[in-house]
Amino acid sequence: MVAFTPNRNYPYSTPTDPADVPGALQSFAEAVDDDLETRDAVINTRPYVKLRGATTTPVTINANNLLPFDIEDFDTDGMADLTVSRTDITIQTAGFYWVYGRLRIYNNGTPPASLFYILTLVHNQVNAFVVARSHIPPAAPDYMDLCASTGKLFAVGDTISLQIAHNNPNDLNMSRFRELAAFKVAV
Amino acid sequence: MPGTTPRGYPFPTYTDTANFPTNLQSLATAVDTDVQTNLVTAVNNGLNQPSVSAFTAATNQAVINNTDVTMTFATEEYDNAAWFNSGVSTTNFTVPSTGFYMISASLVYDSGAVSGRAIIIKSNGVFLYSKTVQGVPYDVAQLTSTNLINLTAGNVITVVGRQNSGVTLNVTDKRISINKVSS
Repeated sequence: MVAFTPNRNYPYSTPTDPADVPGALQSFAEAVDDDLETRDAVINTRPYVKLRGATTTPVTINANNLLPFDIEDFDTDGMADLTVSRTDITIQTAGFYWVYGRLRIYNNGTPPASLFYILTLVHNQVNAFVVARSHIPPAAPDYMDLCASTGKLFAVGDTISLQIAHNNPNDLNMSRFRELAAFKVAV
Repeated sequence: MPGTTPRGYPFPTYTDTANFPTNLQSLATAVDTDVQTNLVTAVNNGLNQPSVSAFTAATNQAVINNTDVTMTFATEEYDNAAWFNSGVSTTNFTVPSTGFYMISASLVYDSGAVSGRAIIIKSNGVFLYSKTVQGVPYDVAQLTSTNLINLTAGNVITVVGRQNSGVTLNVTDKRISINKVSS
């Protein structure tokens, strides 16, 4: 009767089995092949996703604006579908993820004295989990970059998005330099 | 006498007594042990790097003017390597193994006079890196700092707040996450 190894369940023949060297070797070789192929798939499908902007987009004053993305740089786990949602990453595999968001904005006029810009990583479109908030004194029009990042535990179906709010009454645009990325770092 | 491959897999040589079942069992067992120990375990460890995440929300902690104040954390969101034990310390995150780590931490300061608001990351009480923003009287200050750092097993990571508004300011929200990216 065929026996099996203790960890990976590879088959091997015992002295009481009918002599069948080709058959026994084939069974063993196929079992090792299947096992290594499965391991290889686990390594190569580690969840990563990154979205980028490609166009300049206006930002509404005194409102929470979810950032729309135009380009899917990479996505190993079906976490983004820009034809369904241009704002959300949806977790397909539960685990602990590293999440990163970035936005460059541009002031088209002299900002007010009590200016704020708030870039927020948002969980399920409601719960802010990391915020980057900046203030700059009134000055000539200029660029400003905001970044936010953290590690966080997510369940299957959770969404991650990036949001900007501000109180600048001048025309304000988010540049194409906007990014949202996540990758799984632990089970 | 059987030969062995560089990974230690045994095979019979032409001078050995023919014993196919034993030869195959030896080979299967050797491959089994190698795959389990050097591939499966290594892959699983690589996909589950030591990581921790903790936060405190909507709770004041006073930061005295021009003074380093070590931040406390109330809620452990994730910890797969015994980094944090609030029964022992609410401030300390102990590095489980030597390697290269990504650290990200954020603080929210109450509004106050125009001046610096800082977040400082320390290891064993020694400065690693910091980030400072300008606080303003009309709004809270929120800052996040991220870095890649070599750490040694047993190092104790802490998050420190410091500000120079001239009076004590509260930090209301804090968050830290650390994960290993390479040995």
